[in-house]
Amino acid sequence: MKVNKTSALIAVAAIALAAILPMFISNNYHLNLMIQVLINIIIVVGLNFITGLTGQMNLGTAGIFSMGAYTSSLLATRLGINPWICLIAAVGMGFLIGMGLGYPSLRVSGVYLALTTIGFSEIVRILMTNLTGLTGGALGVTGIPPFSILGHKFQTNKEIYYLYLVIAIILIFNAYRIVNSKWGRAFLAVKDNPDAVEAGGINIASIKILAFTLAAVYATVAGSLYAHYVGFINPSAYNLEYSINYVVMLVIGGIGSVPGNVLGAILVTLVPELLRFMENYYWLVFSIITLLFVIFLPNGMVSLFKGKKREAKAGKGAQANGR
Amino acid sequence: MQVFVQLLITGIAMGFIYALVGIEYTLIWNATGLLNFSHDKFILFGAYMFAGTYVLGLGLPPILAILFAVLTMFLFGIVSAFVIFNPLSKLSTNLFAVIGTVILGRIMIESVRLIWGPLPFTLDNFLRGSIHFGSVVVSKAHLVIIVVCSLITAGLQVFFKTTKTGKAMRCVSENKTAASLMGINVPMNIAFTIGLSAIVCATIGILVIPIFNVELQMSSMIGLKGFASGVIGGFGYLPGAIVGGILLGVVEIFGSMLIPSVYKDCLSFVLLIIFLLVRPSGILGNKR
Amino acid sequence: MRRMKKVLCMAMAVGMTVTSLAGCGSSTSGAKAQASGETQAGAKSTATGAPIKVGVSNMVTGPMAAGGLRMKQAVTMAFEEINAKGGVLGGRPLEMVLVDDTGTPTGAVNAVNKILGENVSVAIGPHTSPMASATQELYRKAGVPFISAATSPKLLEAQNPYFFRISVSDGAVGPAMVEFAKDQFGAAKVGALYDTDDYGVAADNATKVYCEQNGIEYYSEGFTSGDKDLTSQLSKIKGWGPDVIFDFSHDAEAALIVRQLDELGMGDLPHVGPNALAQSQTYDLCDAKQLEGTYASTDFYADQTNETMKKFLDDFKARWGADVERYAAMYYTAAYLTADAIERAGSDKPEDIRKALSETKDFNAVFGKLNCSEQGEMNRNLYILEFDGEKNMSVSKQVSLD
Repeated sequence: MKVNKTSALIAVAAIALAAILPMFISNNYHLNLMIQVLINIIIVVGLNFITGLTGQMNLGTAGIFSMGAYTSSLLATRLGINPWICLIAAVGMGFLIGMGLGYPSLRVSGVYLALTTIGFSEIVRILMTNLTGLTGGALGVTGIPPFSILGHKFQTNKEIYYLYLVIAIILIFNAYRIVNSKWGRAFLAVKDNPDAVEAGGINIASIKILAFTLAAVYATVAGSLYAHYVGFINPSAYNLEYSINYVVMLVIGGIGSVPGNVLGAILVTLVPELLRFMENYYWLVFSIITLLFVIFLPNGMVSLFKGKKREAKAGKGAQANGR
Repeated sequence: MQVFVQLLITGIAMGFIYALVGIEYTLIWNATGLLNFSHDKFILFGAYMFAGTYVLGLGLPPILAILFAVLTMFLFGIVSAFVIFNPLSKLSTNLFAVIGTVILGRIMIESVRLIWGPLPFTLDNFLRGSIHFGSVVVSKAHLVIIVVCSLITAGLQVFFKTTKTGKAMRCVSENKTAASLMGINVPMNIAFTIGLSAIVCATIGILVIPIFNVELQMSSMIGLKGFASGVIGGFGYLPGAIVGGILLGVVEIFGSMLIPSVYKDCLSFVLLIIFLLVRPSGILGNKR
Repeated sequence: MRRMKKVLCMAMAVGMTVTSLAGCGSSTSGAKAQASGETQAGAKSTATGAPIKVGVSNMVTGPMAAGGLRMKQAVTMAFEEINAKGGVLGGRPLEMVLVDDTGTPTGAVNAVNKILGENVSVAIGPHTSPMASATQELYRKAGVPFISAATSPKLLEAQNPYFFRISVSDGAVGPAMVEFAKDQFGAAKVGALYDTDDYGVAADNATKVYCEQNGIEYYSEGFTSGDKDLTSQLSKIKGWGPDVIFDFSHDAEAALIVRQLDELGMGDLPHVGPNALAQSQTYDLCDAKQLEGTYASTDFYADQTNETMKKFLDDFKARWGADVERYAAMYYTAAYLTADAIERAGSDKPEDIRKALSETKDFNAVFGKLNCSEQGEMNRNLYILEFDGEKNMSVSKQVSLD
């Protein structure tokens, strides 16, 4: 895998910046935001596999995220299992969901798939809210223990931030490698030219399922991290609005590009907070900005840096595919 | 027996609402290839325009208010056709178009909240009360819904089969290139279609006020269930939307008597997924 | 071409806003007034000392924005009045640090984190039980007391000494309603509808247990928040043949139930509704005829005969052009309670204020006396109100839960 020298430098600089940040920002509220950014980055980087590369619309991410969160929390609170094992269980749940959602995605595509994922997410939300015996219903699960290493519990926001930063970096790097490997190219090929993929002897079905599974695992991992950070979860946070937010992050950052995903997650999580001074109007303004992005800069912020080259490639591929 | 009739009427009334929802987004889908994810906000807008501005704000009598609301929404539909739907349909993939309409929806609901405030309100004398048929009590609102929706559905069929604009719209949805070669102004036609869809949305919004009251969340569920009914009946196909809608309304209400009623909403989504996987062309099958 | 597109887009945004505003017409009616909410400026502060910060976690946006507005108006007005009289601790004004919690637990966590970062001495809100549950640990860790009208009995399980409740707990309401039904209608079979959120489930459970212990038959059906049609639930209950109907629901569904009970031919059955039904924002959505003879159990009643209450009602109406309802009364009380606690503590340190709050005795709230129990519960007054044919309520019974 060839790594562009400038990209590598930017990555190192970004990591360094992320690592130093907490030394200047000790305000709990800001650290809270930064941890949310990390969690969102993980989700979006995962979502990128399906929606960004393979081009399969997924509007059910919140549902997947919540299943990871609930799996991890219920195991931790009801059975007293170590959070790290719960995290692994969340990964397992991600696999299951990936397979589960991957197969239907073979039969439906485009808007139909969007509707399927919405349906899935809504069913999960309704079940979570009403299976009170299992999930604690609307009040959710409380008292979720934080992660600990060798007896040291990660309690303060600062510690959690560093721990999650490490995990996020690993996952981002992993994603970057996949995107730039032959798998990544296979994912892109499925979106741009499925016939050629078949002709090339690659099984489309297994590619799509792989993409879904990757996305699901990333989302469930993020769910577990979230649960063990906040210490409680309840179904209200997992609705369509959140699923839409993740896709917005993907689009604003730049579809298909891992650095784009990171940028998108950061921007969409932080900009509304910065706009809070507008009080009543901040969400409206942010939504308008987002819409303008979608119409005028559909390839995301990243395309501003990568210039005309990327835009042309994406445009050509889609045209060849027809609509 | 009495219970059965009551449930049936509720089911059919709700079913007609779902059917109308199915119709309005199918119109846009056929014309532009875009699924209007903000359609439930169009419904919301129509309801607020009618109740908040024309009736409560300007004190107009209901008939006039309905006329004005419908007209306003028609104009709104046309404007959004040029400003939003047109650019979105030109983007490279479906993904952006979907997200675009979703965000349009957000902008609309935020605008509604800012203009009319977050407090729910209602219209006191609008389609309130019930009628007694012997021992069966039926709500006026449900009856009106059934009547009005049937009229609209029939009216639309006539419109598409006999009027020039209607026939032009059918042409455009079949084949844009051929349509423009035949001298049809495709962009205007599409704009008109979206305007028509907006009119239907406004009607839905007005009809459900006595049932749901005027509040920000009034249309989100029927929006999603409208999608479900379109898929169940036959996606992209007007009769399919109607059949799917009524079927969903009736199945939903009778189904909820059999399972714990809290899972009533689950029914539509489960049905949606089943149809998407097993028979995506829906009950009537897609004739295109 | 691209530039024209950009211009068009700007024009669209402007155009949409302008046409919507133009469509509103030059109205002075409820709709516009609702959005802006003010008719008269508040009292001017005469306190000149260093301000004492009070955090307020408020539902500015989100599904509870309506209640959030009243909550904000109430606290604002209370602080204005207190500051106009010279503030607390010899001339220090109370300063509100208001943060939007979006009415959701995640939003509440963000909001409370922000509030705690501002070095507040005490906090008010968040309001709903899930939000309070999500944030009570944050308050405990920071050592800052908070007052909320969240009603879930589960909140006591955390045994958080920083949590103070000024509403009546859900666990207590159901049993009181059962007793009322027994006395008033000789009821032996109670049918109920409950929201499957924490509030409804807790109320349903408490009522069910109480009925079992007292030999009353009980059958209930649940519904999800936001459900727009309760025909199947009500039909099932109707088939069971109850003597009285209870419901444990929030605003939208409470209004819906009144309508659907009538439409399904159950309008003659005695019906005792929840707290939400007693609030104007809910019963305004109801039909007066359908509401006639319905009861509502509430911990807030705008008692016009009570002088303190009457003054509050009039002042609020003059200041904001809106009627007082439960959110306003609760948080007006909370605001005055914080001032009172600060005075009794004699300091602006959170720990001292917490101690003062826990020692609250015979505090004169607009709806009666508040006495702090060991678990932080302050309010033990419950009313059962009855509606006449014109949406007016009268007290049918007043219950003290001690």
